[in-house]
Amino acid sequence: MATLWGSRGGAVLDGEGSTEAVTSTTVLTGAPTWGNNARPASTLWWDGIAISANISDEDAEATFIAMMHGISSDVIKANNDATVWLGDGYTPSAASAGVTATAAGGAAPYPMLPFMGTLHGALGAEISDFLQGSESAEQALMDVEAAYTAAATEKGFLK
Amino acid sequence: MISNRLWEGELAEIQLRNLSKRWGSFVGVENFNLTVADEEFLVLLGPSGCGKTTTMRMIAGLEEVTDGDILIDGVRVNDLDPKDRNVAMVFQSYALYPNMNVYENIRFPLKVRKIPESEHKERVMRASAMVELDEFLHRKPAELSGGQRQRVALARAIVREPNVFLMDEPLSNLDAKLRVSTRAQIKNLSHELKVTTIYVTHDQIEAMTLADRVVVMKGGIVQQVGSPTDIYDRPENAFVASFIGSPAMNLVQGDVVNNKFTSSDLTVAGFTASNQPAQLGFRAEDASIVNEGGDIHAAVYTMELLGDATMITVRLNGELVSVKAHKDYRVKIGDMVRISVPMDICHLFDIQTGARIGG
Amino acid sequence: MKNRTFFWFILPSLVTMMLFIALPIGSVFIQSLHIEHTTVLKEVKNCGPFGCKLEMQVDVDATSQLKKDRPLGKFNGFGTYKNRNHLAVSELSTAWTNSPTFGVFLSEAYNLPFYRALAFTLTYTFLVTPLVVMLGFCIALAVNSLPKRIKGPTIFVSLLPMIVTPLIGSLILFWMIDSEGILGASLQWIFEDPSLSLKASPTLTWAMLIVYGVWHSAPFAFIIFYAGLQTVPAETIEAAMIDGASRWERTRYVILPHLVPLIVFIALIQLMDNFRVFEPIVGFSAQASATSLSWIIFNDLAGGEGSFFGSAGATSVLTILGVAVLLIPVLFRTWRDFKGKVV
Repeated sequence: MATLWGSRGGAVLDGEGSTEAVTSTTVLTGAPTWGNNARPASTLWWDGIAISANISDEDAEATFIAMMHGISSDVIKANNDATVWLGDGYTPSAASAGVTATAAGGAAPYPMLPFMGTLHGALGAEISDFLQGSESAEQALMDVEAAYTAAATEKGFLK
Repeated sequence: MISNRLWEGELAEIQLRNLSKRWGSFVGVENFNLTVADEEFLVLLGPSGCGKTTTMRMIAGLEEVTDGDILIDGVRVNDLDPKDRNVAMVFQSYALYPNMNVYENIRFPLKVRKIPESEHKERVMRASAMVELDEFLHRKPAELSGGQRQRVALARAIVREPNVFLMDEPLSNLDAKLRVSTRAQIKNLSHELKVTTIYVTHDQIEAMTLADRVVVMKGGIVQQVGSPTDIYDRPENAFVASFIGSPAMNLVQGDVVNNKFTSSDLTVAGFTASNQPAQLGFRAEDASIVNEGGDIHAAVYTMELLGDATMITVRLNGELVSVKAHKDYRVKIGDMVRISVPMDICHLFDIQTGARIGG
Repeated sequence: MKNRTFFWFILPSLVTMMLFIALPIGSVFIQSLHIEHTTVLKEVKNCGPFGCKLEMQVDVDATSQLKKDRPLGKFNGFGTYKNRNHLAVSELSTAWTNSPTFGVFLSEAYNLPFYRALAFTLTYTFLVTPLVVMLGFCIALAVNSLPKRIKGPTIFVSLLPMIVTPLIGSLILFWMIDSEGILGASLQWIFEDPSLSLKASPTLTWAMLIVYGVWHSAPFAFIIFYAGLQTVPAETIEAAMIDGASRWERTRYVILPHLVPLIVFIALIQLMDNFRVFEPIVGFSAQASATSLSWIIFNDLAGGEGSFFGSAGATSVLTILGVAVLLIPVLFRTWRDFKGKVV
């Protein structure tokens, strides 16, 4: 059993980067859940488009047209299995079964908040003791919390 | 054997047999043959580069022997380490251990030779008393004068109670006054200790005052071996004649014809030598200024007051000839003087080889 | 020299030192007393592909106005120094009262990032420094006794570790001790333990970093000692030989004392150098097992999760204090010797 990015499902099953032994025996499904199947233990990441404010209007218009073409239903239909699409014309396949199940299970989108980076830093620094087996999960989480509190205070996110 | 030494030394006769040292084609010492008697004080004398220090370093074991043998007390020591030859050495630069005080410096040979700890103090005190260093035992070498440092080096050599003392120009870093007093001290010590000593110097006065026997060397070759008197009174060649004595022996070039030495300004008769070009040598203090007669009649080139004598120098055919006169004798530069050079004060040397041919 | 002349004489260096040493340190110290302004938050409705909801978001305009008014940030005094990620004053005192034994207290302290880094930094400094001095001295003695013809090439080869950039050098060693690298695989084969990994064990990681540190710095000590050996007076060595000293005793009583000033010099430089150990930790990716004060500063500035200038400043000032404490005994000694010489 392995946990991986949902968008990687295609590469596992496409028979190009993989082997017959893998493709014939691998099934993709939704993320594990917690709280009695209440919620998938995962968050949803999605890619959108953004146009920076400091380019000229002509460039912005051209970019917008190109981007809209890139996510048009024709393109989606032509590249159905390249990734998991969020748009009209997409037909879910075996590769996207896991993502679809997770989303249907009610997974929340990833919180795009400015202090998430600080939290990541604290997690990365303090969780290694637990992973090395020299500390309990509770202690490691307490350390994460303490480290985050100190860092977030300095960053101005906490008072 | 019965010994009146301060310590039970072994018989320390040193024999050098055909001893040679060469670096490639450069000759340091060539075919040195000598036997240094037990308890003898031998001085190796010569200008720098004559091989005297190299000879001593070979005896000490600091320099490999190219050819020949060194025997101490009949035992060949060529292949022994310096520490196994039971020799002690005093260096020109003192070579003290700057981080140790005087006491530790003197004690060092005892410490590394694993001599029982209980003897150290007594032996160090005895050695330091001999060189009058008792009051300075706690000082570092940097806090001592040059003379005191050299005395520490002497005490460090004495404390070992070695069979042979080697001294490499021990006085040349001292000022003139200290040199005289330390020289006297070394002479006195050697008389007291009666240990075979080899002493290297370029100073002929040190050689004359200290030595039982002197070896005069030049270019790696022994020129003459003899007592100080021998060397002074009967130099074997023109080099020894000119090297020993202050001022240097006067040397006049000329010819021997019919047992008579003749140069343009000087004629001395009475030699037994074949007819050939030759050098005539005589010492300044042997010749004398006379009022009548005399063998040399020349104008005074310079007059120097030495205190105990007055030195008159004249020019003979371009060469300077000096004569010592009474200390009250005075003369003006340019005045004519008469100098008596009797045959019995003269030495005659071959003009090419410098070898003694008469006198 | 008159005081006045002396003043003009040292003025240029004084100005340079002010400009390039005192001023930056001062600015770092001031920065360490500040934290960022409290972020202004506002409630916005955020719509994504998975629906809309109300969220707290940073009020960018209000926050940047705050930053513009007071660019240093909010004054925090020594708050950053005392917080959990640095000196952790309150955590330490809690641990002190709650710990049944000193050992428990130590392990509690070791769980705090600053003290964990300090523990490795000090261990590294006090193991690598003497080992470098000893190894450098031994290499110098060995090379000095080689025949002239092979001395040159040997010196060149001995200097190579110093020429290699620390990061590259540690990366090379890192790959060598990988379980598929030549050293790692050999160790597994020798101990017949296929799961043996130098990287997984904190103790072995420390050992590896220390070995690397010695390997990297020994040439520095070696070349200085080698130069020093050329100045040992030959007559004193010969005197010791005749006095009966063995090779070891000549080294112990003549060569070592002669080189003491160099030993002090190398120890000083190495103390300072090793106290700011950094590159090998990055090169070996060893931060899970070993961190150093310099690594913490680096991580605060460029750890990838935003920059913590206050934290980095605080750790920098603490590092400077650490170096000062390390050097005080040596400086004190030098001063005493100096005074001794004047008298």
